[in-house]
Amino acid sequence: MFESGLKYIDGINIDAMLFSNPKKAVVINELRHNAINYDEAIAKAKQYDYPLITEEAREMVDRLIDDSSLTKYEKYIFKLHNKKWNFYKKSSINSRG
Amino acid sequence: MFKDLLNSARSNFEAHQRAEEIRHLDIDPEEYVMLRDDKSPMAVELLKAVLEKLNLPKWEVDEGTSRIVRISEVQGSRKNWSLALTSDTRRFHLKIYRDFDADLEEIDLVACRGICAAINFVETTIQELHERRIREAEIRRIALIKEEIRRKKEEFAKIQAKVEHVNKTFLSIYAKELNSFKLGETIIESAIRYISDKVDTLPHAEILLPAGNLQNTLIQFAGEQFKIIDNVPCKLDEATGAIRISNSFIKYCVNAKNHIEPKCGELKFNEETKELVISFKDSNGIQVGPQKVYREPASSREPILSFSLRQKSSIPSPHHIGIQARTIELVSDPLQEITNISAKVEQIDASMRDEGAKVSVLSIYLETSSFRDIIAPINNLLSSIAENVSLIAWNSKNSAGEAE
Repeated sequence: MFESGLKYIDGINIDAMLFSNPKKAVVINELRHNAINYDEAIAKAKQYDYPLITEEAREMVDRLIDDSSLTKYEKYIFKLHNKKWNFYKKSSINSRG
Repeated sequence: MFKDLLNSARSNFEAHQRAEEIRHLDIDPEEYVMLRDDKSPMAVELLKAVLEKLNLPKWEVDEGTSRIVRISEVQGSRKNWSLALTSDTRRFHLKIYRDFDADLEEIDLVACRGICAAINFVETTIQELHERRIREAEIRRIALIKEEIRRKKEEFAKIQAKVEHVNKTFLSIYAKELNSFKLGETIIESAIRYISDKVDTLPHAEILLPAGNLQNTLIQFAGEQFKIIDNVPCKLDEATGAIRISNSFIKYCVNAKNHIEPKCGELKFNEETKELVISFKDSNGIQVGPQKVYREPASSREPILSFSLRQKSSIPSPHHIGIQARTIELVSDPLQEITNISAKVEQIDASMRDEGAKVSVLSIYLETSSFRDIIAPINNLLSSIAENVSLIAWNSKNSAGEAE
């Protein structure tokens, strides 16, 4: 069985992160890179495992959204962004918008 | 009761929660695309929540396409949409359905970052267009009303002009018929002038004498028989001693072709020589033709004319009427009528000046609206007066005869 090694990072204020930027795609990317150890898992995995890791990361971000204090509509919209957007490198988060 | 309070508190809480859920709800064009692509019940619910927040009853969600649409009309259970809100990843667009306002195609939603702003902008624009149409329709209606008023004013002015024209015409006729007397003129004088005016307008060529002419007649009544012409008034001019025959009669004398033409005739009787002098003058007072002198035969029966002249000193002036002609018959009835009336009016004026006739005529005049209407009463009045005058003359003659 494939083990992605993905896990949540403790001590992250998810609510604060969700409201940190009006651009939801940016916020989603930040969650992926900062609220879970996505970068670390990618670094350890082989390239053909990337899709599996990415998919699991999406599900973990969805759960973070579900657990947040957002309204159901805001959660839905964030999940849409999470579903649509591909993953970017952490270094490119700030330059993309 | 506690349960009611609990339910009330619960419903309040839910309402508050619902208000919070939709208070900041908005999506951008890209999210609208994602939402529509998702085709999930949640997408439809979110769009409905957006409309719930905006509270626009004409807007609804087309669940088939997950689009927000605007209803133009409702036919039973069927709703017709006028437009739908679409978008790409950068901006919102409007899809205008046919038969709807073409002006809406010009609505540009590029500045609307969120769906709420876009919907509000469309709705506001539609309302503004609607109000503009109402204003334009009102302006057109007012313009039509103004045009109608202008047209009616023109019509009214035309009618007013017509009425004024009719009034003027009527007044002109009225003045001619009724109010033609001049300042200081008596009613009778006015009537005489009116009649004279009418006589002047008659075609002369149609007025012929049957046989002989006035001069011959005058010769006759200046001669042995000295006939009296009916209803021809003659006034004695006390200053000159002349007998003036009414112009309205004598001025139509007969020319060489037996046609009547206007001239002023004058009879002058010289008491000393017993000569009757007839002369004619034109309208400028210049004598026309030679004077004709007739001598009254000494053996003849005393004519009324000479009687009248002779009685001048005994009968207070101007209460006597002179000649009464019998033999002249005019072909033209109008002239005859007018001549008679004129004569009678002058007769009244001459004989009844101090006896209230003027008042009588005046009262007749005031009670009628047409001059013709007063002819009959005047005729009646004049007949009675003429009879009285004839009686006076006859009595005088008899008394004179008795005295001789």
